Amino acid sequence: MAPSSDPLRLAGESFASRLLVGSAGYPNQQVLLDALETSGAEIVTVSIRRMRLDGGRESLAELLGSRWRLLPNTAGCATVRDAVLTAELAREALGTSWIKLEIIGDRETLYPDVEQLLAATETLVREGFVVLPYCNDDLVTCLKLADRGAAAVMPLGSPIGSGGGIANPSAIERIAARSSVPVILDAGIGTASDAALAMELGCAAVLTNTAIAKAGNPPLMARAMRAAVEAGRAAHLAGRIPKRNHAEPSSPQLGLVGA
Amino acid sequence: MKVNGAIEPEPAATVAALLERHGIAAWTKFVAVAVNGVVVRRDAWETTALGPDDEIEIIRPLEGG
Repeated sequence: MAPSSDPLRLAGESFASRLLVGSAGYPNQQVLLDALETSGAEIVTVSIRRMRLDGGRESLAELLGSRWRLLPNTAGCATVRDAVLTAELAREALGTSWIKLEIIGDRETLYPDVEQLLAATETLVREGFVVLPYCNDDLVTCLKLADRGAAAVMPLGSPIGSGGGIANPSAIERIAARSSVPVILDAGIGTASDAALAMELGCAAVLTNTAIAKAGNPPLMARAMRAAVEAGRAAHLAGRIPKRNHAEPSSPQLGLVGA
Repeated sequence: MKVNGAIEPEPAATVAALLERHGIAAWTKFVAVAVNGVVVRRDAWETTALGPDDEIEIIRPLEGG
């Protein structure tokens, strides 16, 4: 199926690519640009950080902003207050009301703080933000986030940066089946097959950063991710065969030679 | 006055003056400022007065996941 006939719909907008990518941790700027290009992604995440006041003013937004839709995140925030202020600053700096909402509840695992995530989602939606929360692979949390107005839910496959893949595929499949808003698999993707699996399970899109940025050849991995997301999406739409415990011959059983 | 978590030795009179002191021109794109947890829109940088107890955040987008 041609990508243009099956767009990702997010907060009333359409995107040809179902792959979102991060911009952190690439070996250098040229590799970042090459990887973003081959990924086919239209949405690229960025963080919001204090400006260095001692010079060194190169702006990532200036480099990427004219070519890609920048999606700011609240990475590193641990409270509703900090996350809301970061979102408000991001809106002012980038002129976008879209925010990838991240509120970390545990520094070791980088698991989200569900309680604060729900509260911050409510506040930001009220302020007119399009909220895309990074959350646990928990169905009830995802349903509550959608109830509070999240434009999508972004459950983790496994911990951020771990490359652990999708630890609980049945949980992700259930969320994708029940969610009223698009499900974007965020965090934990290690290689292309993880991205394909996410899409086969019914996710609307995949967001990955480390798996591409830290790959031996980031632009090549970006191309692999793009193909995997397209393949997984097509497989999901096509409908897989049920799994069986016994063999089922695929060739006709009649007219065997010598029978 | 605290700017990005550090004590600012000399208080600045306005947001615009503070930015200018740090070499950030008013036309610099992708910069945002908050004073005491409230965003100050770009068109109010000139007119927003600062006091000695204010805490200012000056941010811009960076690489992120």
